[in-house]
Amino acid sequence: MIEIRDLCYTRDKRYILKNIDLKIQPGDSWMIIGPNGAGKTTLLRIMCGLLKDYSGSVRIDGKEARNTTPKEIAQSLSYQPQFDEFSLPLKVLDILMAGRYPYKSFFKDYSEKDIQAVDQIIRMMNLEPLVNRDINTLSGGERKKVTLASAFIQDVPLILFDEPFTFLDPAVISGLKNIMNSMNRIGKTLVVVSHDFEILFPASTHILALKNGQVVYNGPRNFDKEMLRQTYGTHFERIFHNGKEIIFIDE
Amino acid sequence: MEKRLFLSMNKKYTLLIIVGIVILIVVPFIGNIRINLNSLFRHTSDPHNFIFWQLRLPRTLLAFIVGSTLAVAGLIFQNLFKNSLATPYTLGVSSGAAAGTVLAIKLNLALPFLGLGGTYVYGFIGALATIAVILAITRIVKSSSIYTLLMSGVALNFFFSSLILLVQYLLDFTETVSVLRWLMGGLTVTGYSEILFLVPLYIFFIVTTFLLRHELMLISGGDQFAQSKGIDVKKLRNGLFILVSLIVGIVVSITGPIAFIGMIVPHISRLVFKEDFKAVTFMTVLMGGLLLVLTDFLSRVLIPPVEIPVGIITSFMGAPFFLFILISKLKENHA
Repeated sequence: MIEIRDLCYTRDKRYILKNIDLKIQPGDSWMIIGPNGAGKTTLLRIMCGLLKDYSGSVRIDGKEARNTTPKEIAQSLSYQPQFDEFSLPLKVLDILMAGRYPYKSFFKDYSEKDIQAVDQIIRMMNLEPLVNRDINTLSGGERKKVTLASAFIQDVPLILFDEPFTFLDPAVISGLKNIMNSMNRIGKTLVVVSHDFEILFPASTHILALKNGQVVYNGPRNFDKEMLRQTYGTHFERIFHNGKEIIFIDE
Repeated sequence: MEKRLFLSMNKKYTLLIIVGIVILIVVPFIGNIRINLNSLFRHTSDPHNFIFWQLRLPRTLLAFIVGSTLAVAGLIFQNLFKNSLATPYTLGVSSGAAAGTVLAIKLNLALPFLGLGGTYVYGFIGALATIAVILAITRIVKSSSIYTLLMSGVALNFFFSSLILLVQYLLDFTETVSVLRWLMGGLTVTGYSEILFLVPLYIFFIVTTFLLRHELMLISGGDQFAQSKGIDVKKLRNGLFILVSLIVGIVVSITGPIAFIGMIVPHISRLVFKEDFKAVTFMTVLMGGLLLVLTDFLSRVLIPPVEIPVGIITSFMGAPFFLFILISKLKENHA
């Protein structure tokens, strides 16, 4: 699905990422962790074709990322940026329809099939009350739900998230987490960059830990205190409560 | 619900089109000299006939095309930069075009074989050079944020204004008054050569804008959002830069810089049609044209027989209006 070999990325002669190897398989749920400035967002942006001046190899469905068009990439994966920049009026329905844009030919409008696909997700995610509103009038949580729905409508096997939970209240976070979990259950591959370790760790299948642009750990999830201490410089503990895994910082 | 929404939208369109047609028909008749209807069919040597067919009608049509073009150019820039303050005027593209044109006139760089004296070529070059500088700056600082772009625009605006003043001051004073008059923006034409020249470009510009409406709409949601949906943001942005500098360069070389149309019209369109981008685009095309027709009409009739340069009126009406919108918007954001 995504195969990264010996990836390096420099800016102003400084390594942002150094010698990264990573293999993401269909159905995986990856969590990318690491302190601020570790290169997590850069890695994500390279994976979705936004940064092309890297060295090494990044293959998306077998094709080198720097040689793909945005449209090709949009048919393989969807990227959820950390901050959305909505400032001019934009209708929720149009944002949802944008999920079908990668499949639309330039001179044609959206087809009946596109409209049905969007309609189905609107019903599934209970977005009916929002569709005719301006995205700028929605709450942070509603917005995230809309952009998530748009990625869902995009009908791609892989979704990349950059800090999906910033500025959201706990109830909204828990709702989003449930949507993401069910996405993974129906076969979507997820890659999530996040500091919300306690929330996401239990649901992940794989972990990539970065520090100063280098890999600390890369592989199946296991609760490795030493690895976490090396990554964050903090001591983490784990307990089980009603069969649920709870991770916290133990100072 | 969808159906009723569609109907009410249709009514707004129809109303606007009817109002537009009425304005376009009535305006050429009124002015310092009132035209009576039967003079229209007299011989061309009849002064009323001449005033109507060779002065007022082409002027009204030119006002419509120019207003509409500037408004759509503003809409495109606003969406590319996600900010209603970013227009060809504020980013220095218009003054780049003006500087190019003034240099061409003052240094006799005209190219008569290209029609209209060819000064528009230098208007285009000026506009394109402005954009090239802005793009170079964004490449150097590796950021194309709104801040970078607007600040570059401010600097370029200062630079071109000084360049125009310098050229005016140093060279041949004989044309200074006419150049000064042109810099105030005006739509005075005789006959149809400018219009015949502009119409194909205008149609191409408007059709392209409508064809790109999905891309324009999505890019207003952010570059990363647009790119994640498969839009080649770089290509789209560069292509639109060239198109807009071409059309703005040409328009400015004919009419001089006319401020605020490109800022206010898309803004009002968004206030009326909100998030329906297709309707906003349609409204911008129509209202841009009509607003400049009406403003130019005012410039002719406010203190007859004096004609106030239309650019002065657009600035006079535009600046306070824009401040009003800005203040109400800021108040809303901080409430």
